[in-house]
Amino acid sequence: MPRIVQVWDVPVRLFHWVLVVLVVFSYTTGQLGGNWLAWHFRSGYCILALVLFRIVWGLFGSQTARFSDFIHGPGRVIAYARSLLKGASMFHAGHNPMGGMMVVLMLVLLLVQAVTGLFSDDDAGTRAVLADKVSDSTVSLLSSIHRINVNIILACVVLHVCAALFYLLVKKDNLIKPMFTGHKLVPDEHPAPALAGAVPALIIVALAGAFVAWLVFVYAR
Amino acid sequence: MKRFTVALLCLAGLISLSAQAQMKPEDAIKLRQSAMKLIGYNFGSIGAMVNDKKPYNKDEAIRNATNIEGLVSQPWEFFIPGTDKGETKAKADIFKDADKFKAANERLQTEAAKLLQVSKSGDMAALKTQFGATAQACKNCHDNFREK
Repeated sequence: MPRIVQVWDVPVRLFHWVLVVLVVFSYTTGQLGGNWLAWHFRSGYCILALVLFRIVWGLFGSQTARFSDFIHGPGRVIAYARSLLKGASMFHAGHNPMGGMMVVLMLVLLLVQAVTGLFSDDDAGTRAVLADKVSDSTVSLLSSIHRINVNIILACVVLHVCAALFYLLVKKDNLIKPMFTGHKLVPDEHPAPALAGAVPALIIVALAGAFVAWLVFVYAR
Repeated sequence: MKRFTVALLCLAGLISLSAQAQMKPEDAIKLRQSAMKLIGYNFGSIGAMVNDKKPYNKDEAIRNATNIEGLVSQPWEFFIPGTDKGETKAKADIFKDADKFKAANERLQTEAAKLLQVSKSGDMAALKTQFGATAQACKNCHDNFREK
């Protein structure tokens, strides 16, 4: 008998939805420009801290949060993609092999976006906090990467949402609700994943936040 | 009389066209980039003041805004056809969609004129608001007509 099991811990779920809000906010304020950039910067600092947290949580966090749980070789990814199209896809308590690739891709893209942002100049009177630390040609290059990478992130977001809708509507597998509640209907043969506590997560968040704050308010001055 | 005026305008157009044609594309690119850099320098100075990165100084802000107001119409004279190639980020759309490009330039000129006006008031909060509006005019044109 399948039973209801908690597969996503609180840190992963909070990370996901806070990130959604911040990415939308960053995109909007970035497009608006002008004095909205002050908010764009703050949002970017938060995203950087969150991504750093998620990378560490991917190494030491709950089982379903760990990279080792959802990064697979190309063979398994292809096998999963095939099973998906046939209709009888393999069950995964955490991220499936394709979703896992998207997690890694998004984290890398967001890290690139947040870091290049720190060194950017909008060529409209506003310089980011670390722009004076590097040469003008570096600022110009990193600003360009920042402006191009946002579109790659946007494409990934669209793909990610489409995939979630594909599972919901075609596969009749609601992956969105568990990202809110944390719980999934898990077949008997799959053991419940081991979840880490909230205290280590809080410590990692605090350290990531402190590092970004130091970078932005101490090192940059 | 009307016909004479039209003829005169045509002549003036021809003269300015030939003046542009004489300029080497690489010179036009350098000239407009220099003007952009000067605008950027002055605008960045106001940006630093209104974002508390350097102390606010009314006279300096007025000087910056005066320079900007004088310079914003300058680069556009050097966007002559063919200069979207070479050491430039200018897109070909500048020439394909000339009306939109002109409107973007006019928007900046309007905002820059307001910036100068506001800078004279000595009201830093108002200067910050107008800085934002002017920056958005810069960005509007960059987004549409400049390679990322």
